[in-house]
Amino acid sequence: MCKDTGIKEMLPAYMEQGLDEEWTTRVEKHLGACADCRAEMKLLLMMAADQTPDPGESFWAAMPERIHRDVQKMKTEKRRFEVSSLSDGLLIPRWVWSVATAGLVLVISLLIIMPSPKKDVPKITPSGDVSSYEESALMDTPGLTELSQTELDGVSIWADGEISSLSSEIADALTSIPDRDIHEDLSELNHQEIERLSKELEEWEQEA
Amino acid sequence: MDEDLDLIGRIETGDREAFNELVEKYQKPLYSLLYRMVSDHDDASDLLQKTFVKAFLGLKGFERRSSFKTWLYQIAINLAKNVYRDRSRIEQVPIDDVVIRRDPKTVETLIKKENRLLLRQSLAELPEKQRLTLILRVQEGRKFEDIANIMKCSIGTAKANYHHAVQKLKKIMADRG
Repeated sequence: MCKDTGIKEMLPAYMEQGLDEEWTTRVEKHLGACADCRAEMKLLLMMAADQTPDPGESFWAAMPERIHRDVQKMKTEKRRFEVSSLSDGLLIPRWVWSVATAGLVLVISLLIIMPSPKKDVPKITPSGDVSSYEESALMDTPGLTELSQTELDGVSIWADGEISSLSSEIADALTSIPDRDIHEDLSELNHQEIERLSKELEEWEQEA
Repeated sequence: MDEDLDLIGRIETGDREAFNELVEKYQKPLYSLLYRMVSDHDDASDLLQKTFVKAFLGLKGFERRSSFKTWLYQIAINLAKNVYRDRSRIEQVPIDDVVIRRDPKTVETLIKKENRLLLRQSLAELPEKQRLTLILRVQEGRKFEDIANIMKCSIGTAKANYHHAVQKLKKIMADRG
């Protein structure tokens, strides 16, 4: 088997008559002496001679038109696809979502920035109803300077009622105390407490 | 300026004449290459059309680093590879049956046809890269530098593929013949 790859590489070019004179002579000399390269040359010639069938002039003449038609068709489809993609992009909620998100952020920001509304101070109405003053007093305690003369009169009536009921309760408590033996009570006091008590009695007698 | 680039420039401005000119220039050599790869007229014709359509639609992507012809061959080979792979799965028909059925006129014709079929069948058995390299070098007459560009490999690899292809082809044909 021939190992001269330099010559072997030149065989197709020799076959095509594409070598200069020097190389052509060199290859022919080698072929005369090398059976392996002659066999290879025969094989290459057989391959080169294996022509492809000619589909005919009408086939070649129609080809540019067929290709042009296909190219135009593909371009139209591509354009249609791009337009539909664009319209889909507009319909599909990408921009809608953007606007909605922006709106939501705006609303939240306003809620955070805006001050909370002031609580109304309950007004005391001069209805003369005592219980309404009591409730008002529990809910809030406005200063007396804020009250009108009529309101002050209402408060005064309410206070008198309260004081008189408290006085009667105290009197009842005092009268309900049972009688006790005073000697018994004094026996429970120690010496210092008896002295202090007698001193205070003396001072009380002198003042009286 | 390169003649092909001039035609491409005119095509980009909508010049229909330039379009026809470019197709007419390359349709025959491309068809020949494709036919050798797929061994079928309908497939070769379909692939030829697809190759040009793909090329014209992708003209903006043609970076002009290689020649338009090389770029066109790359597209054609890539498209044909899929068909070739499908074809290689098809069951082979015995040579004698095909030859006798098609043209049983003379012994000479029989021998020629048998040799041709034997060659095609042997070629079909080569690994894809070796087969393509051999077709491009011997049948398409392309130089190793061009083959390297088309196959996107080094010139050394293209030459190695060529050598391996020839040796393997010789062996297959000797075994069968």
